[in-house]
Amino acid sequence: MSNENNRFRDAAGVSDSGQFSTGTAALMKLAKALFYLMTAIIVVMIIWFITFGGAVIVDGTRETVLKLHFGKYQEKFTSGYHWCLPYPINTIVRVPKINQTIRSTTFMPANRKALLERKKDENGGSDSLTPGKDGYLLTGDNSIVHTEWELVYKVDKPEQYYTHCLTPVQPLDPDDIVKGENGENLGTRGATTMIRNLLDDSIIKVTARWNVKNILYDRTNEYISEVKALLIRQIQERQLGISVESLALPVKRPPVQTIDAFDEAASASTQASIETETARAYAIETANSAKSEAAEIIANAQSYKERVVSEVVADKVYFTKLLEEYRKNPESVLVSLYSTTLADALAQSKDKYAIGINPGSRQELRLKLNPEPVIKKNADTEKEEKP
Amino acid sequence: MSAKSSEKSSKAPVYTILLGLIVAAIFLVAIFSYQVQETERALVITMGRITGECGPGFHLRLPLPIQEIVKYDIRERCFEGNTGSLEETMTQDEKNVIVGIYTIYSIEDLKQFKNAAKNLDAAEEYLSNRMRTVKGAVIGQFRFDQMINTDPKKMKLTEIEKAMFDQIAPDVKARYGLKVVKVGIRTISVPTKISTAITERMKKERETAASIDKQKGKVEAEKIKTDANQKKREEITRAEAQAKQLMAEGDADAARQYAVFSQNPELAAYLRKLDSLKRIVKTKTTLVLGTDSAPFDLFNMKVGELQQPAKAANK
Repeated sequence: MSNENNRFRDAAGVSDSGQFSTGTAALMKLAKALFYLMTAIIVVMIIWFITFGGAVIVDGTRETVLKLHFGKYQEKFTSGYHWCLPYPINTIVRVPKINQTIRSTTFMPANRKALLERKKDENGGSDSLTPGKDGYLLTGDNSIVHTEWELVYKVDKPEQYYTHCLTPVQPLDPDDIVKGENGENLGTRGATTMIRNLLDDSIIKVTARWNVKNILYDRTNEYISEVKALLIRQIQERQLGISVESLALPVKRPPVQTIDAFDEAASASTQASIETETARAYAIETANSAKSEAAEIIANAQSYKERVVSEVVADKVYFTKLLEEYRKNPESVLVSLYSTTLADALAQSKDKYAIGINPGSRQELRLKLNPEPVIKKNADTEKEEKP
Repeated sequence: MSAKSSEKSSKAPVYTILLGLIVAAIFLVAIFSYQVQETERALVITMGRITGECGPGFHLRLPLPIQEIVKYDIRERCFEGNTGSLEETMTQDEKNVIVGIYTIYSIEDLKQFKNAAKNLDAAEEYLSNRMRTVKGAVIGQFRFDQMINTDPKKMKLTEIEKAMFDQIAPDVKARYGLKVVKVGIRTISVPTKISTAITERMKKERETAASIDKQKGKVEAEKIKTDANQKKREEITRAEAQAKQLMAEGDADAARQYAVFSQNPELAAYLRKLDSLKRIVKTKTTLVLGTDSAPFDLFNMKVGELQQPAKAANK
């Protein structure tokens, strides 16, 4: 220790006084302590570097990890625990694997709420559509329609996605915001922005050849499918490494000023359909009724045919039997038949009058045709009696 | 004690040297090397002159100020244009439209880009101006009905995009080394007056359509009902014809059976009369018969005689 002190003293060219030796010794102690501290830090860093620093845990359900060796793509980890030397030797890039949603409101008006609630702007706002503020689509029949789209996609080729399309430094982050010279917001830049533009491009191209009625009512699904097909084609052309999971059209409306007219037209169309359906139901009912009536007519005729023949056959049998008896005793048979028949007839008839016949006398019989019913007559009489 | 001290003093420099070497190595590597990411390309600038271009990987370099390394992200990026996106453009048939376009481009020629552009913003400013100019020129060559049309054969949006691409891409590449891979349309709108007129027309169209639909529904319903009634009448007529045929067959069959009555036509006629009488005389019938008709002739008979006096006299 004293040797070291002497060495410092010699080097500093100072005289060996008690005052300096104490200070030098303290400085030496501090330098030594700093040296050991730095050594410890470096050792810890080296240990961290070759252990935890290189650990890569991949959540296979949410992400795919790309390993870049000195910046060059080397391999990808899809799940589990991996170890590789950390940055700057290897760079780890996490690319999202889960479904991602882009909601395009490019073609919606500024007052989206009023459109969704199907009512005109009550805050004194203009009903007209201002370019740059109110978004809309022009249809093939030169009409205006508002749409809001929801695209769900996922990255199925992460290396292609990362290397072809400008993403934020970490692709999981939202797109970068582009600022103007005065700090104004000029939009965003990144993969999501590019995909949204491709979606809008596809929507415009397809909508420009469709008519508004088909988009809103008659062939909406076909329209969405056409947009989706064009979007997929554009994404494949750009080799973005993503796949479209679904494309939905949650909002489709005519301009708010025309909603009432569209509603009325839709209602008229529905009313017309109802009338037509009612008429169709009537037609079915009438056809069934015709069938049933026709069947009844034919059945009656068939029954008549059978009845007439069977009656005649029965008469024939009756006549044959009776003829035999008649030949044996004609008068008795005739009287018997006459009496039986007359008895039956008289038993059924309401009024019977037996008039005594006096040959040679002038008798006069007066009968009232259509006599008034007794009950009615009695009732009339009672009425007259009451005051 | 002194031996231990001398051992310690000989070990300390070894650690110090090792540590110093590690630190020095790290610094040297940092100063004399660089790495380029998979998404980047780098320009090597030696003493102010571009001397090379590097792809992804680990590379050696001379330290600043001798060598400067400038890295560029070469991935495709989407640019919507900074200015002029709301400018009205006139179509060939003199209709005002407001078309918003976007481009997808990447930095391809690093040397050209470095020489021509101060930074990316400057290049994009130029790109934006080109987009604005070309858009106006190209839209002016097409009619409005070539931008929107229900007949896909008449639609020229793809051609419009291609025409804009053909004018923007070579120019931007030659000037700034940017490779434009796509020019697309992101909005098509019309001035406020026109959009108001369109909405008014749409309103009228819908009102007319409503009226037509109502009438159409009524007419169609009436037609269906008339057809149904007609069919019913036809079916009933057919059934009645068939019924008549069946009844005629029945009557003919019955007539064939009548031959038996010729054995005694008087008796047959008598039986028919009796049968008719049974059918005719019903509950509301009023019968007036003389006492000379059986069985009322009983009133004329005397008790204990079988024959009536008149009848007996007649006989």
